[in-house]
Amino acid sequence: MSFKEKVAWVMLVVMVLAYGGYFYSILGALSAGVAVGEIPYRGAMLATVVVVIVLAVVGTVAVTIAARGDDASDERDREIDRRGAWLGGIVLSVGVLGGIALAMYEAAPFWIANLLLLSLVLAEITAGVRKLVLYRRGV
Amino acid sequence: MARKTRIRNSVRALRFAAGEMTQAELADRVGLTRQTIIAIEQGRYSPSLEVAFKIARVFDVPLEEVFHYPEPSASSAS
Repeated sequence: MSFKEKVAWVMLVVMVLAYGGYFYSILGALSAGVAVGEIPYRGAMLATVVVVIVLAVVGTVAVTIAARGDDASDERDREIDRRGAWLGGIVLSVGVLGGIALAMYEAAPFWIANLLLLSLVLAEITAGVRKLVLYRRGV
Repeated sequence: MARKTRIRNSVRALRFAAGEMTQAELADRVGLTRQTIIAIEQGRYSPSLEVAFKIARVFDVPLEEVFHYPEPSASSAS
């Protein structure tokens, strides 16, 4: 497994766990009937973003140390990265359009913020899965 | 199921002919990772034209002795 493939795995796991936890708790509050205005999503969202950044840095550093200098990347890594990012970009675009629509109809900031975060997360996960598929299946 | 490229190559055979050159050494000499050499040998990746020329140069053979592309008539017409 190439260095960049390991990094892609780390990022995917971090994203799924951290944001999965965030959206799980948000959905839990919603399904428990908590009013949208009373869900403390701001603090939770900011904390989750910080946690993701910290875990991503720690994970990448750990993979880099474990690689013991074998952390090179090449044209295949770049090609796979481009293809993954391209697909993720489509997902992000759709989500952003949805966010614009919500803003136009003056939806609560809760919905706009969460839809935009969800788009970002789904875009990253889509890109990550696409990359891992390309690493295994071939470009 | 791997989606194989139609481009075939003889990298593995050429490596063994070249004194059993390791994948790591070939990777080093053409500026790829060892994993990409593996992917090329398994037909999971076709390198850029520039890298293809570099590989041919390492083995000191023309490009077409490393990479082959089947003639359209080779497979039954679809």
